[in-house]
Amino acid sequence: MSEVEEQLPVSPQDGGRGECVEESSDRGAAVGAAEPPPPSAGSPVTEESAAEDTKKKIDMLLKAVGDTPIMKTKKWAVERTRTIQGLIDFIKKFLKLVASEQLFIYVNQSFAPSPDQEVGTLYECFGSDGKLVLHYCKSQAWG
Amino acid sequence: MVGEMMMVNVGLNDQVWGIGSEDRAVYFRQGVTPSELSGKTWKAIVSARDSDRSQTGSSTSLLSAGCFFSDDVREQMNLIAQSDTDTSSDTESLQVHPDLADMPLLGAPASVNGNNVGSQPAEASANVAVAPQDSAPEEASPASGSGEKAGAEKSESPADQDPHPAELQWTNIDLKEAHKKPPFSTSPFPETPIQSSLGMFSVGDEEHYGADEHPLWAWVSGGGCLVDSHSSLKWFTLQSGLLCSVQSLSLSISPAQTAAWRKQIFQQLSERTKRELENFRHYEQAIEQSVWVKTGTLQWWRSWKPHKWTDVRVALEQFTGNDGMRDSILFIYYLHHEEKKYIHVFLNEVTILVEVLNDAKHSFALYTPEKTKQRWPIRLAAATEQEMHDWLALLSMSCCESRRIQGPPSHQAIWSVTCKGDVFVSEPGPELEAAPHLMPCDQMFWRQIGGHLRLIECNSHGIVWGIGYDHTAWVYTGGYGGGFIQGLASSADNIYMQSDVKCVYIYENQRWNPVTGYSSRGLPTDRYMWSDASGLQECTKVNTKPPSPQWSWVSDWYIDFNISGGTDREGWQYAADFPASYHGHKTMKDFVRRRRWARKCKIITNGPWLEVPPITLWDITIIPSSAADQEELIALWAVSDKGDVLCRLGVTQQNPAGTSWLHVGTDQPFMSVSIGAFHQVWAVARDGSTFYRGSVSPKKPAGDCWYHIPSPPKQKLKQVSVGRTSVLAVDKNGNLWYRQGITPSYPQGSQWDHVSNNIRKVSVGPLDQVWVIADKVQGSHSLSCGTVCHRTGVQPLEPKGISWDYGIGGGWEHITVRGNATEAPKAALHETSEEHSAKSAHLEDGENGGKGNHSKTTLMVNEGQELDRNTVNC
Amino acid sequence: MTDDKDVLRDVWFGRIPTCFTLYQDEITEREAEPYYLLLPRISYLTLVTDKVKKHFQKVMRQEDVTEIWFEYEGTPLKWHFPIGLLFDLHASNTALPWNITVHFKNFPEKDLLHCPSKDVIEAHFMACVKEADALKHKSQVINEMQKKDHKQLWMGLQNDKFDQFWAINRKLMEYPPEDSGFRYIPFRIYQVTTERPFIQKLFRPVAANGQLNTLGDLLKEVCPSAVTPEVDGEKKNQVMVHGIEPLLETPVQWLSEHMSYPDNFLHISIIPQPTD
Repeated sequence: MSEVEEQLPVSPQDGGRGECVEESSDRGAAVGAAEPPPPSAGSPVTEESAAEDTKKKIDMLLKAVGDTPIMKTKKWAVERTRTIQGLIDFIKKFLKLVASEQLFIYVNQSFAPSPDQEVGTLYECFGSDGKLVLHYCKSQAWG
Repeated sequence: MVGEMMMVNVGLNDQVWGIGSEDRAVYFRQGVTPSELSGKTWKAIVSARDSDRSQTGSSTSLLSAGCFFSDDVREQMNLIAQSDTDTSSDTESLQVHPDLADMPLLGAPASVNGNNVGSQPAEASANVAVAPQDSAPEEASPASGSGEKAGAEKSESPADQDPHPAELQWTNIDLKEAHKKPPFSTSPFPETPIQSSLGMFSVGDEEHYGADEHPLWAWVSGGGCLVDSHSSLKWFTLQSGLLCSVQSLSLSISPAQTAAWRKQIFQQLSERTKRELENFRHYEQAIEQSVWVKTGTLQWWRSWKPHKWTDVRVALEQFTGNDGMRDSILFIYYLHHEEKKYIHVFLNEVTILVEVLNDAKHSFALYTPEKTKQRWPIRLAAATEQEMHDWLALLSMSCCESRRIQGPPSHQAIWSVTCKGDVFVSEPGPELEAAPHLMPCDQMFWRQIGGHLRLIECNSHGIVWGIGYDHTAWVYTGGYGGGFIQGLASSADNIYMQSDVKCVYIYENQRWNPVTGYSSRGLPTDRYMWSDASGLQECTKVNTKPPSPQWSWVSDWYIDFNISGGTDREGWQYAADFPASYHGHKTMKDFVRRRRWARKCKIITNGPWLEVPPITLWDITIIPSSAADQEELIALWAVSDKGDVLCRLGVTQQNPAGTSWLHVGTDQPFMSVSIGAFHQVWAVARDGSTFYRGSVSPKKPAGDCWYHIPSPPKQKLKQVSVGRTSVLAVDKNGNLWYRQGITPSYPQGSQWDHVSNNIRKVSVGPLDQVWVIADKVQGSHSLSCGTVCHRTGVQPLEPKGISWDYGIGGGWEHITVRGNATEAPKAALHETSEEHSAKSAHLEDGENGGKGNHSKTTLMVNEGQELDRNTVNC
Repeated sequence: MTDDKDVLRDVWFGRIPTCFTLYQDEITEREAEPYYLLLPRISYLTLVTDKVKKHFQKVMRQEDVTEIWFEYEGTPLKWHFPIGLLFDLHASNTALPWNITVHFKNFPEKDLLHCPSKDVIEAHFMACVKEADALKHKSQVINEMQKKDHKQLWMGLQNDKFDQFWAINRKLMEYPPEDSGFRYIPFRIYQVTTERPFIQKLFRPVAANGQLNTLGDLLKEVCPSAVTPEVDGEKKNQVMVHGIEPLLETPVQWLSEHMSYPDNFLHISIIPQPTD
């Protein structure tokens, strides 16, 4: 959960620059999570593919709310284990916000996930069309 | 087979339907399979009620709150209704908005008809007449609007002995509608769209746990319905997921399996409880249970039909919020079809607690902003007046605590009086008048101050005077509480005895017949021969009591010759029929007559009021804002109950009662007077004509002479109010007028502009804010008469404002906002510069009159600047 | 015969007897006595430990007191996890009372979130409720409620008011008659043995063939290691909710309706089978 600086930072998703730009279409059971395959009792989800999953990145779209500054790069590929707090810190740095300023992140324009929540889990549950859409705001937008 | 069915019908694939003989519900025989044709058990089909959905915020009424306000100038009407109702219309009027009649929802269609059902002749057309029991005549409003929506598909046998109040009598079986429905094969309740259109019935904020009334069925046919016996059916319980899952399980999983996992859960839970609690019961609990402060039994006026008083248990509980502050909740527990339910109110949402005039009960109303919009408060009644006062005192104190309100009202407070004579005061925040984020006035919190008065006037420096029904003048002492408010909520000193006397009226009605002339024997349809103003209630000399136990008679019954319309020498007034407009002389066409009898009763209470003898008053006005200097004289004008215009001398902040009265010469009796921030004095005479008093100033407190101002065409004014510069007046037909064309050099203005109708009284404040008592305001649940309204959009360039915001009511008699000079600093500066430029421009134009006016103009400009500076500093 | 509604009450009123002891390195002016308390399983540590804080602050100097935090056998306890979950996960098969150590210094920034006020707990609680409803109803039910209903949920939890809470919460437990359950089940599976904080995935309560999915189905799908049997046929893990082990045949829809925490999530602990 610790966000040490020397880890590979999130890299923007532009035309084929890094290895991180991957489509999310063929990842085990975690396909664009709107319609998961029906759970069948005997599906061979093994430990190995689960471990692989945690290494892959997920696609994220960041949208600004209200008068929050808009990020020039909105699409990002992020490791699954990145936490919301880490994402908040990153966005604040990217937007050059002061550390004391608050930043809130919302999923589905309805709830603010806990700072220690992993984006991978959020992607699994609330991603659509192969990406997780998150709204960020300097003030509380959705209570 | 077990069970008594009124009728049974076999449908496709041998599925069986029935109608219970006892409860007239539709039943489905569950478990009918080819191998088990008799099935297993009867299951009642239950319709879901959508009424459990919490109400959305703003009232979704068909009629808007302001539907009685319009721009038409109201002319003299055939005052049928008017002459029959005293102004003391109380909040007990049982008019319910017709749309929200509580009808049982129509779930499953009346006839589960197959395609080839023999023709049932359509019943009499959908005459959905509501026939409620126990309700007042006003409620016979047809529910046809909603009936249409449902496509009225029920049938009830006429000879039905109905355990529920019979809401619908005849309805029509709409065969065509039934055809359109898809067969029942997989989805239950195809008429979901109909359900949702009926889903609007909100019966307030009660919580329901179980199914309620169901329609009473008479006939069923399963002819077109194919039921796959293996599919899970969800018709037998409500939408509640909790019960639904169990039911559906019982069809898809065998009983043995069902039991095992649930048994495991129950067993393990009790083991866990034993393990984790048994040896540790002596440990302290981490959470403190909330403390109840007071419980008791009261009666509650039910929010749904038939409206009646229901016994309820009431509990006031306190709890500690996040920030450590205590707040309270009032719980009202009641039984509804033998199920325990409750409604609750957070006391920090309560905006006012007000006693309601009701002959039979000691009752009071509790409002929140939501209930104010609905015009439907929570009404509670106690068995004795003492009990009611105990609850009121406790609840008021808790409300004030939760809002951190204590001590006397500030100088900016807004005072109002109900038609019952109760005094309420509200502290305005800066958002009340400062755009753009105007606080809606239904959110204003009102607390009661002891005393019984007819009107109150104030200014922004703490001078407050009141006038009783007996025309006694009272000056406010600066205390708070009084009346039934005792203990900590009442100031220790500054509370004195206060009394008031008012009249109770009853009417002696007679009808003319050729044989004996006028007599007390009327037609069978006539009103009571001794009645109240409306004629609906019998009031005889013997059975009429004073308004409440606090009042006692101080005179005997006497004939009242002062009734509007005039009377003959014996006190009779005549009319063609009841009700109509009455006049004092008998004509050939007058077949009825009435006579008003009055009796005086007196109340003795206490409050922060001291009598100012000796002159009895009818109206009073105090200059809205003045210098903050304690010694400076404050202008105060009044009209005596005889119509004399008076000036009070010696009024200062130190001595708000003043020292003596100065008569201002008039040649006719007056009834209303108002003084503006720059000593502009306007007055209305009893004949409806209006006057402006010239040259009023601190050096010349009584001015010099009256200037007649023409009234609006064909109208007679009855009340005027002057703010800083705005002059507004109300005429006898309820129209509100704004005096156009006022300038420093021409303070009488040039013409009257119509602002609105539906107004009873107006109060213009030191910021030229306009507040009124409106005649009728429509809420989503009810109509209120005598309601506080706030004119929004009032600005220097738009002094008439744009629209209305609706506040507390009905049953309000009077309001004064002349103390509220709180203003956002920005706005004040803005106004200063505008005012200044406007005034300086006019200085150039030349003045009317001589030096006197010129000096006055200069005075106004200077004062204007000073005043603004003051308000900025406030 | 016990009713399903009794389960709701049992879940709500579950209590864990706890003994709070001040960490020995904290500076005190006098000896600090341990403090015994019954903690509600369904609540959060920082919401119900005002008495503990007051008790220990009495023997400490003001300047030595910073934010309170709790630890069990060296593991900092996350206040934003429900108490019952923390107990089941870390101490379920140990002797009662649960021994928790209280700290006022050296807040472990990397392991715990700060909790400066009750508002933070309320915000976290409501966010969980909203997330759960996003899964169950696409947020429709929670969004249809008024602010005061949201407040009532929180007040019910804070003041231990079962009726008040369930008056609103039951609406979150409903589903349209044409469905057999929620859209997806809000659940989180916790294991002390893994690195990951918890497993949360999309899971439908009803299979494509209309059969209700069970707890076993859920585990097989998202956490198969929890239910694969050991070589010698013994169960190696306990699957625990609210201190009990439901049979794996239990329908997950029923569990969600009856044994969720007030935040509407099913918090499930996978713990190693205790060795006697």
